[in-house]
Amino acid sequence: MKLSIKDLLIFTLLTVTMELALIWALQIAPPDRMQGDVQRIFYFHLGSIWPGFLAFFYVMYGSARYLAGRDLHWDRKSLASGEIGLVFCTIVLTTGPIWAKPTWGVWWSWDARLTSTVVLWLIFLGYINLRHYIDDESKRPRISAILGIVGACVVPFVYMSTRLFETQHPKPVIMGDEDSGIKDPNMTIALVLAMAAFTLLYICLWRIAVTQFQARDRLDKLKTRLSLLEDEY
Amino acid sequence: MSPVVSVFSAMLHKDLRRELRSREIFISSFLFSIILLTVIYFASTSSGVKYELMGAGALWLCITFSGTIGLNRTHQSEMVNNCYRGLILSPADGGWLYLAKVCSNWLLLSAMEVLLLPLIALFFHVDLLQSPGWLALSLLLGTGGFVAVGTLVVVITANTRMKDVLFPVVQLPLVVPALIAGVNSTEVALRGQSPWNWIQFLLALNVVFLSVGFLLYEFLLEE
Repeated sequence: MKLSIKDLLIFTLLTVTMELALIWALQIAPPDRMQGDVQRIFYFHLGSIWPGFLAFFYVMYGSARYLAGRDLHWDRKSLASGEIGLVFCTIVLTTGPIWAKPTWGVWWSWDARLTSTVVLWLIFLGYINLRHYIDDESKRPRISAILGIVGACVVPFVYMSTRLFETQHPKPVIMGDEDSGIKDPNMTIALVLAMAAFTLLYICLWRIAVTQFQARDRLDKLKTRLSLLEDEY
Repeated sequence: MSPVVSVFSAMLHKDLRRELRSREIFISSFLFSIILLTVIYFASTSSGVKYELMGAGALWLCITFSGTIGLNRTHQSEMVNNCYRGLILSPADGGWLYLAKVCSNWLLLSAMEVLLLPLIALFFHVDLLQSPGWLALSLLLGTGGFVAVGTLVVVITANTRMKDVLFPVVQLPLVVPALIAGVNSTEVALRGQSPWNWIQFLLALNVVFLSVGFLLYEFLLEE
């Protein structure tokens, strides 16, 4: 795969930001007064749910663009975003219990935020897998696009769950109430760096996935042409 | 009468008349619900849970399972004799067909709930008259959210190889928010309190999913 200058620039920026995020989150930012060092996982936990939500919203945007223009590129872009969003959602569902065990004393609690995140994960697992069960290739992108849009509608409910219901999950740090959020400037820098690093990782992975899907489409077209030529001669 | 209204009412009448004549979905779903209630009663008493507290949960389990069976069966009956093609060729916008389908499914499921409520009161010793208005609103809006998603997803999965298996797999995660809100709202109403917070959440869910379904159903009707 030939990398463009844009790809190299994003990759370099990603490497630098990821290194800085690691240094700030694990070394420079002070440990939490109540939770100690275990709180440091929060930088990666929140850092990965943000691009996860972004990815699912992109699925909605890309699916709407596909339905409006029937351009297959938008289907591939949405699928790539959905797959990567699912990976980030899996990271959130893994780092959450690792933090919960020493803090709450249990790996899992059925509160609104945790349940709604699992539901979101299941919805997009369904979105990724549904297309494998559609035999008619002409229907595949259209049906997936509709499910992608419906699935992304659940994202605001997941985000709002800690505001709407009494939950065990900590209250929102970004755009939260006055008493929520982090006060130490180094903690803020660590969080911003982690969020930037995971967003760049999302962009990087998404570009690679879209290129792969496009290459596979070109290969399929070439295979079809080759088989037609073989039939002719 | 405008074409939209006439197609909407024709669709609604057709679905309701077919069910009133055959009663196949209604009777099988209702019998299935009674079996479920029996299982829930024995499961709760054998595990030491007070069955009097299980009323709202039992009711919503019945709605979920029999509603899923009912929605699947309703769509399958459209596929017989290529009736679905008739839907595609109808002059109204797909969104109105979707709303007609949602209304008929909503009415059928609500009718089943009306029959299930006395059974819940009988089996689980629940007082339905603590706050009947809130109870009715909780069931109405919860069922609305469930049906709004289900009516759309049943057509999505109808295009797949394993539609009978995939329908609940794809539909259930999407209706979980409506189910959680429905169970909690019903439970609060059965205690005689106001479930206003949950009702607001259910209203928001209904508006979102009905609007999305109205806008997207047209794309599902293409061949």
